Amino acid sequence: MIEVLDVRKDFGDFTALDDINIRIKKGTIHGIIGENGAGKTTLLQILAGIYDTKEGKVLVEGEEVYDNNKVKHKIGYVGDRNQYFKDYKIREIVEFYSGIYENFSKTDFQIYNKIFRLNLDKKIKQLSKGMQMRLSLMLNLSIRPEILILDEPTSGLDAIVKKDLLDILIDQVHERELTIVISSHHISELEKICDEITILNKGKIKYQSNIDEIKENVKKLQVVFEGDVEKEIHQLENIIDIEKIGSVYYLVTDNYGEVLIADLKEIGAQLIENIGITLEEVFVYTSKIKEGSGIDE
Amino acid sequence: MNKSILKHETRSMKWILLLSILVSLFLIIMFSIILNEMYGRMFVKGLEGNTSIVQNAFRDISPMILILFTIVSVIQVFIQFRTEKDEEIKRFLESLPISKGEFFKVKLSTGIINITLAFMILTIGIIIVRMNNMFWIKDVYGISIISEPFIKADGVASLLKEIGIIYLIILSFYTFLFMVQYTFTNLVGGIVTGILVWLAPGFILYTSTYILNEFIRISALYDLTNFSRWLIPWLYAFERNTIWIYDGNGMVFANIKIIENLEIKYIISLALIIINIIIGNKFNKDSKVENENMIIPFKVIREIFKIGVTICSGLLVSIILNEIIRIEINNSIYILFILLGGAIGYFISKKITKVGIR
Repeated sequence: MIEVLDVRKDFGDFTALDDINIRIKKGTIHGIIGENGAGKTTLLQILAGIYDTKEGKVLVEGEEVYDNNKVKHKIGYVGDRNQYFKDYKIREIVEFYSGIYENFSKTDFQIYNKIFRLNLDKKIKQLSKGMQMRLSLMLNLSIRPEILILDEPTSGLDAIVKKDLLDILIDQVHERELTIVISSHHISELEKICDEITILNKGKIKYQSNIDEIKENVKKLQVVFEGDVEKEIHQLENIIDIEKIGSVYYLVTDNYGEVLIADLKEIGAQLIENIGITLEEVFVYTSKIKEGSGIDE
Repeated sequence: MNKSILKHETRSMKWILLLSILVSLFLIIMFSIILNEMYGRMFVKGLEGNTSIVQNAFRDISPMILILFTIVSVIQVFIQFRTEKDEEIKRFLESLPISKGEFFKVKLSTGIINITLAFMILTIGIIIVRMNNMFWIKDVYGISIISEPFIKADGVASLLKEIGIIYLIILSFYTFLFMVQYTFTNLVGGIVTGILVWLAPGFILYTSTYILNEFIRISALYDLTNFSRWLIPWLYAFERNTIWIYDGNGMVFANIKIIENLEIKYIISLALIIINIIIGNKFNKDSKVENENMIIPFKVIREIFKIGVTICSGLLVSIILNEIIRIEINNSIYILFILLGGAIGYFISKKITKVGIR
């Protein structure tokens, strides 16, 4: 279990994270979504024990992560930029890791390398961004971590390797009860593998739920009204986005249920159709709340 | 000691180890050349007694030892911290389950071992060269009126003492630069500032007492000016006392120059090394990756830096006016110039310390 309790992180006068509370169950995949600068990387670096917190704490099985080598042994961290020692060859950095992590398995590394295909005699400085990402993924999977923190792990990877990686992650979760915290701009990928997600906005949690709940509660509705309902529609609760195309309204709600249906019928809805919503759309609409919900025509 | 960290540190040290060994060999060759020249001169001028030959030859190379190993220390610090100053590498290292103390310990140990190895080679080489030359040096002792003081001054024990103080001076300088790296995020900036700060206490005391002496002439100030030499450890190896040697009639016929207050200098150098390591370790433990944007991450160091630069700038102006331009000006204007120099120093140091603070 990972517990992020009332975490706040400042960089000088700039507050990168504020009042962050997340509980991540063992053996689950937790996605972190947010715009650029929302605080995703900072949060992941705090989870990895790289940054200290100004307030609050991060606990793994009840123990603080920062400055705690016992806990860090259980954590694999794949950053968005993976800078290892430039002059090292890949086989040298493998040796380095094997001397650092007690559970590091060279056999696992060789197995992963059959998928990720890196030349072990290449120097780190000769690797492209994507190759460095592959290396970091292989190294951190080979330490057999209990928690794997992945910051944009699919960036720079081609489609085939990307799919292989996601398969490996799911397998590891099922086989070893690995806990994964992952951030990505490719929200459709997160939708496929995550059990829960947290949406960050300007350093604060905007939305937090498990994927099934989101799919149950957040809906996009196509509604046709009898007359002009422009005023009434704004007075409805739990509508996070309104779009009007011709005479058809497209409403996004985060609390779908009978109460909402009844409210819509009361103001004259003649046709209410659930047209489905993707996680990407949820992210877009929840991010739009801050900008005010006028009708987009 | 973690073997991966040890391997990583020794990996970066191999070139500097090679350089250190080359420097040691060069110094041994220089020592040998000087003794050979003395030997050659003997055939031209004849045998000249009443002199400490080995010590004189060593005195000729000791400034070279100090300068070359000071340069080696600077390069060593540069190489040791080169990769770790990179923002991403810092984060990578911080994510590893290795304590900051372990990194510090391994890095410092490899650095000290490298310098120690180089000095061991140098010492062994110098002793061997001395041994090879003893066949003719003994002849010199043979024609001296009193040979014991010269035999003692040229002995292995005396040589070891003199090499020892240079070794400790170099180690205290190296550990100082090493410590400064934990207070400065910029590698080259840290080295340059480190060298200046190393000289600053001596400069401040010497210059301030010198200026005060212009206004109030009291002997205590002269003593303080003399004391400033104690604040520059580089000078420890060069300040020598002359020991006069008398013949049976009480007449002076020769002298030997030995390093004065050697025991105190040993103690000060050792104390400096220990203090540098303790302070460096403290700053290492308190350092945080998130402060990497600040050029000086610790508030206390920022304040010391500002005060130091302000004082040194003011004193520098006074030295320029007194010693370089040498103009006769009214005391009030003189003080005004010093204050102006200090103000400029404060302004610049304030700008530097603000770099990276959001």
